[in-house]
Amino acid sequence: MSNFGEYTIRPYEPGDEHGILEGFNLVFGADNPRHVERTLEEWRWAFERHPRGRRIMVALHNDRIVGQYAGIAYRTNLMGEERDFVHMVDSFMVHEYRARYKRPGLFVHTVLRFFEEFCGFDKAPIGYGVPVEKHFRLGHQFLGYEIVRTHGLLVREPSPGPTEIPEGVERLSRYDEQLRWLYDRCAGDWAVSAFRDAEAMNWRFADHPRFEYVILGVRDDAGILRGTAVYRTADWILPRMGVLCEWLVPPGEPEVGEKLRLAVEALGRSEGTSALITLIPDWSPWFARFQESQWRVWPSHYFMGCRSWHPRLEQMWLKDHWWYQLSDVDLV
Amino acid sequence: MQHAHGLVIREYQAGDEVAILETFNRVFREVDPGFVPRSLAYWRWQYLANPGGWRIWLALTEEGRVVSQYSGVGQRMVLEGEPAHFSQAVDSMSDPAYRKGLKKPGVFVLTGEPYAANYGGRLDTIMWGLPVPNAWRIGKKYLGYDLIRTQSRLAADSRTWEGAAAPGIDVAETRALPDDLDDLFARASKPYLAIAVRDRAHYQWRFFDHPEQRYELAVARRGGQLVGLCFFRVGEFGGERAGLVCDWLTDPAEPGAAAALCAWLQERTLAAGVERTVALLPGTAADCLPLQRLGMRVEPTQYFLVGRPYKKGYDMRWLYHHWYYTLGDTDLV
Repeated sequence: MSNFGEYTIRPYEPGDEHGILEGFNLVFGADNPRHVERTLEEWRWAFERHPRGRRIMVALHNDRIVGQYAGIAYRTNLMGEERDFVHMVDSFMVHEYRARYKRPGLFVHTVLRFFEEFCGFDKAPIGYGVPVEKHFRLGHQFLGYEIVRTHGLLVREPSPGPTEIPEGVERLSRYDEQLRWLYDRCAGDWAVSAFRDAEAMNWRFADHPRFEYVILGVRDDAGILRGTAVYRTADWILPRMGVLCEWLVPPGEPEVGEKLRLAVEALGRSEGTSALITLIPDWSPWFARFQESQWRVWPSHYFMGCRSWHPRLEQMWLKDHWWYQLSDVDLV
Repeated sequence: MQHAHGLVIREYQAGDEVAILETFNRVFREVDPGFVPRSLAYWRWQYLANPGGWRIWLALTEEGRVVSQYSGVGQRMVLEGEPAHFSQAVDSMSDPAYRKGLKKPGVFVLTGEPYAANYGGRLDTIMWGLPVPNAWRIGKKYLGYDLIRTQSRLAADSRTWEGAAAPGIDVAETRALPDDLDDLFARASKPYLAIAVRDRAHYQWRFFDHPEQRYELAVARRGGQLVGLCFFRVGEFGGERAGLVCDWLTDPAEPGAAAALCAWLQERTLAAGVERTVALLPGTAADCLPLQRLGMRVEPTQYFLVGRPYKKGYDMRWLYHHWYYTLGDTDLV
């Protein structure tokens, strides 16, 4: 615990979630007229039921939570070593407290305590996120945030075609142990990637308390999962977009990818989406293959930002070696 | 003039180019077996003849030997409708023998700091470049470099080009810069808040006066009015020999200009005996999507664009959104 006069900065304690949600909804509601109130159920999903536990630092004025810096840990395969990367989410500082303690303010002190508690070479070596530009500027100036990659997004404009999922593609209700087998077949090409297994991905998609995701799979004749894609409809960059959140297909099995891509495009048509959209690292063979299938790279203001505590995990190295997708962040 | 570590730190003076090139050619030959020595004619073209001016700071021994250079190519810009300057940092170097003798931050920073102090703000709004990883690390730590963009390229081959009709638009190759170039620039620059001036002086210097490369110019006209142009040459980029789109300027109100010029690029690339056509534009450029629809694909490159702002209001995110550039803005082609 750190004391700054009448302010206290400390890690989460049971019961803080009520004050956190009050502050979160107050701040994000004021900043965004389209803000949908975060519920206690969503908070518990994100921070209590998450397989890797919570990382939360709160700032209090007397007993009121006036700020938070929080992260969700993603169990990450770092060149064969198992580490946690922390996805920074839901950070806020109630407006009237933002100017307290000028340069750096109370928020920066809260973040620095978070880093001290949860991050470091022997703790979480990478904190990451897709920040809004105002937050990035602050983080860059005071907290060591850097840009790993600026992103174009793959977009498929509406097109005529089938509206039924093609034969050979099935809807899955949950993942089982085969997802990890599939991940292992894909991950050989990646130096860094969050593990894709049933525990992580059922939490991320099947158990999500607000959003309904469509989990698609292709199996071979022996019933083994050869590829998967996760889709949902969302009002995101455009209203009613079809968002391809997760794509896990070995590049050496293009026929599996073809079936899944056609399934996603059929879902988009059947739901009358404004466009389909996804994020795939540009060095992946799938980035090129989607373009061969009429997906185009649209500019975006999104970029992957990170703070590294690992001397080898420098931003340009991560750019070329880190596999992540929309499922690794909280945008959709 | 300053002194540090027994070295003289000062701006370029007429005649320094001989000593600069002696060190430059020696340093780069040691790290690149395929390095072609830089000629005096090229150096004078790049710096002294540049309508955007030169930016050069040197560290020299008492005997006049150059041990470090931080140098840039000036660019005349239109920045939010007003004239301004950027400079592209190129050819910066330090002699390894002196690098080892100095503690951090090292001899490279000895010239980088006065470069920023003398040109930043007073002359240039932005300094930018496409650094190699080592220069990036040093620049980030000591010279205020920040990332603007991880740079993609656009590429097409005969398999991907999609012919699109451009009725009423004629494309012609020429060695004469069009008289109505300024009119096209005025229209083509409208979508961008930051763009290097593309006028006769610039194009003459950048492409037609180049001492070592020959570029081809194609102009697209509708009813006699200039609606687009493209400079092209065959060369190495990213490890492949390709047809390079060295500059690209189109009227945003004339979507047929891109189609017509792409048809010319496809023919010209094939005629040159190479398979692919490659362009480099910011992903935010208005023509990026039309070029994809015409058959170009987005691919990663090893390059990343970095900069250092010298004036408030023009940080790297602002540049990411608002700056238009092509391969011809860089020293890569």
